[in-house]
Amino acid sequence: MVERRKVVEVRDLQFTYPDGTVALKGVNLDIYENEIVGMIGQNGSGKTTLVKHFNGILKPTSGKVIIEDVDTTKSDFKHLAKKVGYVYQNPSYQLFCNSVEKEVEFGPTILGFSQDEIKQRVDNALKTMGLEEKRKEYPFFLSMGERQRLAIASILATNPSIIIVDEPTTGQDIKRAEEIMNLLIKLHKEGRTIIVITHDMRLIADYVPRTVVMFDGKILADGPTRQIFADPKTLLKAFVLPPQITRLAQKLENCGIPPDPLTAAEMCNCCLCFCSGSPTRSIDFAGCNHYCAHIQGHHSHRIPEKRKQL
Amino acid sequence: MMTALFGTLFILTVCTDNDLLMSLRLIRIPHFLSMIIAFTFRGIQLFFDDMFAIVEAQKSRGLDLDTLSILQKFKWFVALVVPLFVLEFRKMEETANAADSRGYSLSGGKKRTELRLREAKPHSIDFLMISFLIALLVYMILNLFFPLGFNSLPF
Amino acid sequence: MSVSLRNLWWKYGEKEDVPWILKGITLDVKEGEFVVVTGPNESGKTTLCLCLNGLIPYNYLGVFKGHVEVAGMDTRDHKTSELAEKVGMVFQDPDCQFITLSVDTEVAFGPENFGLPIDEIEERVDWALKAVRMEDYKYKPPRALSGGQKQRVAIAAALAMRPDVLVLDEPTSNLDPVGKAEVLEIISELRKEIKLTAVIVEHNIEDCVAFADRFILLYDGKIELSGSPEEFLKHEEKLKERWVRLPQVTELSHLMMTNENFYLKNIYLTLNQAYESVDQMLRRQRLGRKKEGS
Repeated sequence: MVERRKVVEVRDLQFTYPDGTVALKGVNLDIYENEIVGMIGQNGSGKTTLVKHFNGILKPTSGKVIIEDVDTTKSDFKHLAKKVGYVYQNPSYQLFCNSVEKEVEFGPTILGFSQDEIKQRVDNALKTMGLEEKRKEYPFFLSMGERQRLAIASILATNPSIIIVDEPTTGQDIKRAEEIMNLLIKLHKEGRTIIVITHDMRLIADYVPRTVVMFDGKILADGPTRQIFADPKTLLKAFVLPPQITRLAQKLENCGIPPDPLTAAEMCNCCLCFCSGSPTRSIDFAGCNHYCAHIQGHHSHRIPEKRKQL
Repeated sequence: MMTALFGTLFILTVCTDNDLLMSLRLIRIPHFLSMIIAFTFRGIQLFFDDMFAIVEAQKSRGLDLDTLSILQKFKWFVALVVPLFVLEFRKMEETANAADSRGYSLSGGKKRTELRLREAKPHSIDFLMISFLIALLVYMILNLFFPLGFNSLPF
Repeated sequence: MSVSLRNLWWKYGEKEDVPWILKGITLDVKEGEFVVVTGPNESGKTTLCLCLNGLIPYNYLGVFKGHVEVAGMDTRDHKTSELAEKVGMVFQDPDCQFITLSVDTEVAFGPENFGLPIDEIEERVDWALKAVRMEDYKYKPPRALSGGQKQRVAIAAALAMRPDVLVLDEPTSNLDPVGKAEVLEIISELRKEIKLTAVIVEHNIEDCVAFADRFILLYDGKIELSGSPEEFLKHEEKLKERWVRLPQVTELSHLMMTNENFYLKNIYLTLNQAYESVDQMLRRQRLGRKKEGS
C-alpha cells in the first residue's frame, strides 16, 4: 500500500475567540493527500473555526496545525494561500474587484508571480470554470451560479493543493449544488485534496468518501462515510441525522436490512436481495457511493444488470 | 476639544447601541429620528462585519496587510470601500423593505406605542446629570468667546 | 380564499428589453393551507413572495399586470404597511431584516406600529419568542446572535403581528438539519393554534412533505405543477428536469414500482409511511419463505 503524504496535521488544537467563546477543545485530525473529506455537525460545533486554521486566518490558542509540513504559526498568509484555497459560503463577500478577470488576477498578483505566469493562470482558471466569455463583466452583474464559479476560479488561480469549500449548497438548487460538486470532483482528479463543510447529508452520501463529525468543539467521529452514517447513536449526540434512506434502513434492521445504504438505489438492491433470499451483505457496498460510481463509469441510480436477474 | 472627543468615544464603547438609543428616546426625540439612528448603528455594524468578511477573504488569497506601504494600504482601502458601499446600499434597501413589511409608516398610519419606554424610567440622578452636562457645555461655549478665567484648564 | 393571484405578470423595469420575471401566475390559496413553493434558482420564487405583501409594486419599479388579493385586500389599493396587518413576511437574509438593536424590540416592532397597548405587546413578544425557542435571548443584541438565531427572531417578529398569512422565503437556509426541522414543526403547530395560512419557499422539500398541504413548482415565472404532496411527487421526470430533489423514500418507491419483484402501487411520501410499507412487505416475504421451507 502506498504511503500517502499527510497534508493537514492537527494536534491538540484549542481555540478561543477574543470575546471568550471556546470554539475548539482539543482537536486531533490527519488529512492525507488527494482525499475528499466532509465535515458535518450542527451550527456552532466548530467546523468553520477548524478549517480557518488551515489557511492561517486563525492561529491556535494552543496546539499545532501543520499544513504540508509547515507550522501555520511560523508561516505567513502568502505562503499558506499558495497551498490552501478557501471558498466562502456567500460569494458576495468574496468578490471585490471591478471585473471577473481582475478578480481572478488578485491572488496570483498578491503572491508575486510574473505577468506571463499570471496571464496563464487566469486563462486556465477561467477556462476550467467556463467563465472565459465573461472576462470583462462586473462580478455583481453575474448570476449567483456564475459568482460561485468565479469564487472558485479566483481560488484556482493560486493553484492550491488543498481546497476548502464552506457550505457550497446553501440557498442553491440541486443543479448548482451538483455543478459545484462535479467541479470539485474534477479538481480532485487533478490531485488536489478537497475539504467540504456542509449540512447536506445527501451530498456527503453521494460525493464524499470520508466524513468527520464535529460537536461542541471536538471531533466526535471520523471515518468512511458509510461507517459514520451507520452509527446513528453517535450522530444523534452531534444533533445530526443521516440521509433519509439510511434512517429507513436502520428502522428496518430487525428485518435483516443493513444499516448503511446511502441512496435509494442501494436500498432497492437490499430489498431485492432480501426478497430473493440471498444475504443482503453479499452485495459489496464498501466504498461504493455516487462518486465511486462516477469513477467506475456507471451511474448508481440504475440498478446494476446482475441484480435484475433475481 | 480632545476631552470632548475622548469622552464621546468612551461613552460609545461603554454603552451598548441600544442603551444609547433608549436614552435618546427618553428625552423625547421624534421616533423617526431614533429609527434613523438605529439604522445608522445597524448599518455601521453591518458595514464593519462585511468589511471584515471581505478582508478575511482577501487574506485567504494571500493578502498580508503588514507588508503593504502606507500608499498601498490607502489604495487597497479605497478599492475595498467601493464594492462595500454598493453592498451596504442594497442591504439598507432590504432593511427598509423589512420595516415596511412590519407596518412601519412615516406618514399617517396609527400612533405608535413603545415597549421599552415603560421600562426605561428616568431617575432624578439622570436629570441632575443632564443638567450638569448642559451647564458644562454652556460654560465651554461661553469660555470660547468670553474667557471667564480658569485659563489653566485645558478645555 | 386567503390568497388569490390572477394572471400576475411582473418585470423589474419598464423598458421593452427587460425580461418578465412572473408570467401569468394564477393561484388560489385557501385559508389555513400550508403551501410550499419550489423550483430552481431564478424561477421567480422570491419575486412571487414580494408580490404577496405589496412590496411589489410599491417598493420596486417595474410593470405590474394582473390582480393580487391577500386576506381580502387588493395589493394595488393598499400600501405595504397596511397589508402588514394581515401578511407577515420573513426574508431570506437574516441580517438585513434585523431592524432594531435588540431581540425584544425587534419582535415588538410590528405590534408597536399597530399602536397596540404595551401589555399586549409584551404578551405577544413572550409568546412569539417561546414559539421559536428563543426566550433566553430576549435582551440580546443582533451581534450576539448566529445566522440561524437571527432567522428565528425574524420568524418571531412576523408571528408577533398575528398575521392571517405568513410568507417565508427560504426561512431555513442558514439552519442546520435539526434547526430546519424545528422551524417547519413550529409553523405547522401554529396552524392549529391560530388560523394561519403559510406560503413557504423551499429548495429542500424532503422535510416539508410531512407538513405541506400543497406543493407548487415554479419555473421561469410560471406555475408548472400544483398539487397535494402525493400528486406532486408522482411527476418524477418533470421534477428531475426542473432540478427539484425528490425525497429519498419517494425515489425508492419509484424504483420499486418499476420492478416486478415488488407489488408497489403508491409512492412513499414520508419516512414513516415508507417504513410501514417496506416492513410489511419484507415480513410477508419472510413468512412466504418460511412456508416454502417447512
